[in-house]
Amino acid sequence: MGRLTSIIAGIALGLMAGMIGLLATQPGPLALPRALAAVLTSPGLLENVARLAAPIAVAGSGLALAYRAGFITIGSEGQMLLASLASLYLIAYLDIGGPWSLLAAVLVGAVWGLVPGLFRAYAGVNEVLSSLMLNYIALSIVNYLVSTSLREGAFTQTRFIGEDKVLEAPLALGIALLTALGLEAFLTHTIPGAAMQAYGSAPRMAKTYLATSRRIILQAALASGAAAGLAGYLMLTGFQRGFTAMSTTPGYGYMGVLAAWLGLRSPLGALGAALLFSLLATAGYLLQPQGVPGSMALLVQALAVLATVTLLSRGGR
Amino acid sequence: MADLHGIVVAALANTVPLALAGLGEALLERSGRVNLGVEGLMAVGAAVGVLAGIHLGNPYPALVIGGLAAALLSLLYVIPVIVLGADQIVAGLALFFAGTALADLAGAATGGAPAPPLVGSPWDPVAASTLALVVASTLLLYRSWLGVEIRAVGESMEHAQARGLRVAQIQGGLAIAAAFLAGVAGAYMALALHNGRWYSGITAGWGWIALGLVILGYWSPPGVLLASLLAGALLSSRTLLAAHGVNEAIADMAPYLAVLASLLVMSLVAGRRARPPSMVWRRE
Amino acid sequence: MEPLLEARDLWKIYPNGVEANRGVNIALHPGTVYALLGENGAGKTTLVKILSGAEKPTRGEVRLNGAPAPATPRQAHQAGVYMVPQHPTLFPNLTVLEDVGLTLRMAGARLGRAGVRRLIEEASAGYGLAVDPDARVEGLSVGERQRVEVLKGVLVGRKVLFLDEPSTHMSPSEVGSLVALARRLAREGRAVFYITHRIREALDVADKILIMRRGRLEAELDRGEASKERILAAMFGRIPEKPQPVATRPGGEVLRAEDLWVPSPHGGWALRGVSLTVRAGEILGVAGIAGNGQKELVEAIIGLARPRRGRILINGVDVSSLAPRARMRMGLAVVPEERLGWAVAPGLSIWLNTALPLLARNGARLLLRRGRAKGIASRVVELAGVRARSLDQPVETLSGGNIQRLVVGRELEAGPHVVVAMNPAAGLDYSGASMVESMLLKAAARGAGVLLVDEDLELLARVSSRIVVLSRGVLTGEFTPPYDVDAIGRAMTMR
Repeated sequence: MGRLTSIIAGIALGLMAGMIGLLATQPGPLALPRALAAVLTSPGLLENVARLAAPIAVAGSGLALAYRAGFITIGSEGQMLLASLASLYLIAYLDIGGPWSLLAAVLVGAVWGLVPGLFRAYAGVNEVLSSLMLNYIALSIVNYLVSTSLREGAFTQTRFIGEDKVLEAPLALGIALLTALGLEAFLTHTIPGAAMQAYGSAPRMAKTYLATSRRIILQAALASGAAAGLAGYLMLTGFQRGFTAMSTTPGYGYMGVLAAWLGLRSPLGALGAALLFSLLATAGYLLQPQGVPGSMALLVQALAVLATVTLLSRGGR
Repeated sequence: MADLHGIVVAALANTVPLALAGLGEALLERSGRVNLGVEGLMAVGAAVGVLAGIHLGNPYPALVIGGLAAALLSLLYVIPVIVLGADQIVAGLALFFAGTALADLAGAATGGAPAPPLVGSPWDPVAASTLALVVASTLLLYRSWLGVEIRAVGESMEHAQARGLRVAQIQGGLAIAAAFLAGVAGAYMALALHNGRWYSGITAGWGWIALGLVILGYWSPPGVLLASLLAGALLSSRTLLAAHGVNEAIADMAPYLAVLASLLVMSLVAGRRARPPSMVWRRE
Repeated sequence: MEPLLEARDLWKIYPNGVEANRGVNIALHPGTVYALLGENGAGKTTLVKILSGAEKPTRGEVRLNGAPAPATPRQAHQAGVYMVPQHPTLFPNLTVLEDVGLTLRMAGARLGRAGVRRLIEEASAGYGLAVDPDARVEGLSVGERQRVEVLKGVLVGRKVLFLDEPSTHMSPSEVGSLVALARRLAREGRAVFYITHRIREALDVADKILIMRRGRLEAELDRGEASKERILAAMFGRIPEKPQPVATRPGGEVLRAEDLWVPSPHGGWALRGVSLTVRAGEILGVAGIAGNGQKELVEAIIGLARPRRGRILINGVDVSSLAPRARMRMGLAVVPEERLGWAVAPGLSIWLNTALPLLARNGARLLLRRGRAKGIASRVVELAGVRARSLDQPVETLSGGNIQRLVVGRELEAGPHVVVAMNPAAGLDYSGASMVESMLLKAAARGAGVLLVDEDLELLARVSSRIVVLSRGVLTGEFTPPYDVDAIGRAMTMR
């Protein structure tokens, strides 16, 4: 099966599984297409889709790059959280907005993203596990700050950024598109980008002729971390606006992981997958009052990715 | 010191789910496969275990049903990866997300009601079975021909296939068995460690910790048990730390930090010289 | 007399269109040693795989004792048919006993550990195949692993025993005892089928010599009627010219390795104080059996492995602390052992695989200009005579010979001072192998110093200006033309 057919069939299978899941709920399976149609025809909801898609797309684009280089990080979740908190601090506590808060987010994301890269490059620690541990550590750090120095008022929560600081949806989406295009260009039109791809497919070849392992891994870790940092900024200024104590992470970074795989490890593909995911998630919100749990959207996304990669691996034979 | 006694009991109770999940995954990885979805499998085990407990009124069959639910879910890994040849990393990650979502769906059905809890004590049947499983899987791996086959498949699937070993059956069987154990582990977390209540995010990354413990235990059943004991102790030190005035959020961080640090130390000390006994984590 | 194993009109056409076997008829009788000769790519391995049940023919059938022959290796083992592979496929993480036991059990024997041990010890003593059942395979040398494979052949191949290029990793004296063993097994009533590309070995071992060329059985000669000339004529369709000895006037020293010590991944040392020099315009051959430090030597020189002691100089400059790419910018070129995954990256296009290493060598750091890169690639493709449909096709869609042309062409494109090549002609057919040889000779003629690490002693003797021998991580001898192949063989097993 071709690439496009596999993706379309995979998404269709995911949606079908979601509808089967809805059989067990009160509104029934047709609620899903109805909700999707409702989102697509409402400009207000489409704006929500764009705001939600932007951070997922940016994180996914960075991850796509890392996955091409064979660096399988799933640390975007924690990187986004910490980056988000850094922007929040600048905007809501120091009143430094605009590009500086964005830059701070990118920086924090890159630094947190560099950690599993350093672990892998200098000690050979598997980045899947280390980046996951770092997600939980990031969650603890955020919870700590929310309950101590950033705590505001009677409840364990931070200040929230004002309505006027919320990013316009088209701008958020524009940033996402630019990031994806930029990363795509990096992969195909630069020597370090091509070297990353070579390393992902044949590490020994890349090590012998192109660059050291360390350089490539650190570049991939840094780039995906910086992207996740930007995603954290877009998350904060798009819809998050502030933090309360959390028992689990919000999960947008994990959606970025799924978007990167569904987009076949291409930054632009990740953008497309992110749009689809946020469409699904928004439709999911619409269904929640009708007794459909919010996780339904995540289930559909995960199954779509699973079906797509399975179909593709069959086609490749 | 009753306090110390309490901590030791809690540490041993924490060890049970970690060891169960880690043991299954260690055997699977010995056959050359890795399933990154352990956390999702545990979540499903927890949610279904609580549901079953509520309906049956007895935590022991509920553990088994939680395990069976996870085993069923693992077909989403076994069929794409082992039968159809999809990438195991992506499939494992997708299973993690699917499991988390399904657990939320099933868990919502509990409506927050508790199942009859399993009184966690180091001498309960589950802890005893865990220990027995460690012994049995050690014997299986090192003393039986099936164990030789598992290790051979884990070394080179291609050569094992050429020799006529039943690669898919061995890996598929181990993947399903490992998922069953992960499901039991999740159900145990809910029924024994959280008084029979389910909530979203109940597994708290323990599935991922278990994946780390497989490496720390160097893919051997006794090693995994030992690593689980250490991690279990760390996880139970949370209450001790909190009691000494350490911020709760910081205390939460300790076990993850410890696993991360020990992976680092282990890789620095052993990683360069010795190679993993299975091809899973081997890299250029 | 009824043949034991018989094949009629075997055809094997691979999905990529290669016709590996084209109408082969063959009959094997018990008590006979057959030698199958043919150059690389003639279809020998395919034929043996079909006869031993590892592959299915596209057309034709194989019969064992008049019944349809086993269709899988497992069935073949149960029927007493066994193939000793060219490269041992033992499991490094098992003990010899476990590995042999696995094979015996697959062949249908219901044995415990004690039973397996007894069988190993009996065969080991009875046939002079010294193996330690409790040794872990990863600690064994390639030669010792080959011995375990032969032992398995003795135990399992009770009726028909195939040996695929068994002498690949053996010293001349080991080959001698293997030949004696093959003849003894045939005397005891088995059919022994010995695949080789070495004519001398075939004449020593065989009752009947079969010669394969381009997928067909070209000739079948009895022991008495076979001669080197007749065999050569059948193998190549003509008597090939004797290779010309290399006439070079070596210039200044371009590569120098001093006292290299490299640890082995299995503990101990892979290289123990190796020193060598290569001068401009010469080819220095490094002979030796695989696993005696060759790979580590190559990795140390190109910079993939850090020696614990010693240093490496290119054109007199100490490069010991430099990364591979920096060494290449100083004039090093590398033709690695594995093509896919080391020499080129599968999944990437031909043009990227060609241009990227060259651009990196020229110091390009950021922009990848497609026009320029494709220009470089198309020049290399044309000069090296690579047959490709398009520069955009993934590199792995090329045949092995074409990939190697591309790699050698790419590496010589930059006008290197030092060329390091490891087994560059392995697995190539005659024309591919001779192209690689002539390209290396041309590089030397243009003034490069070539370090050629190769298992094929005949090839080394053809092209090398000097030969050194690597055995157990130590250089055990240096030879100059005319080469005394027997003396080199002795040095290969020296401690």
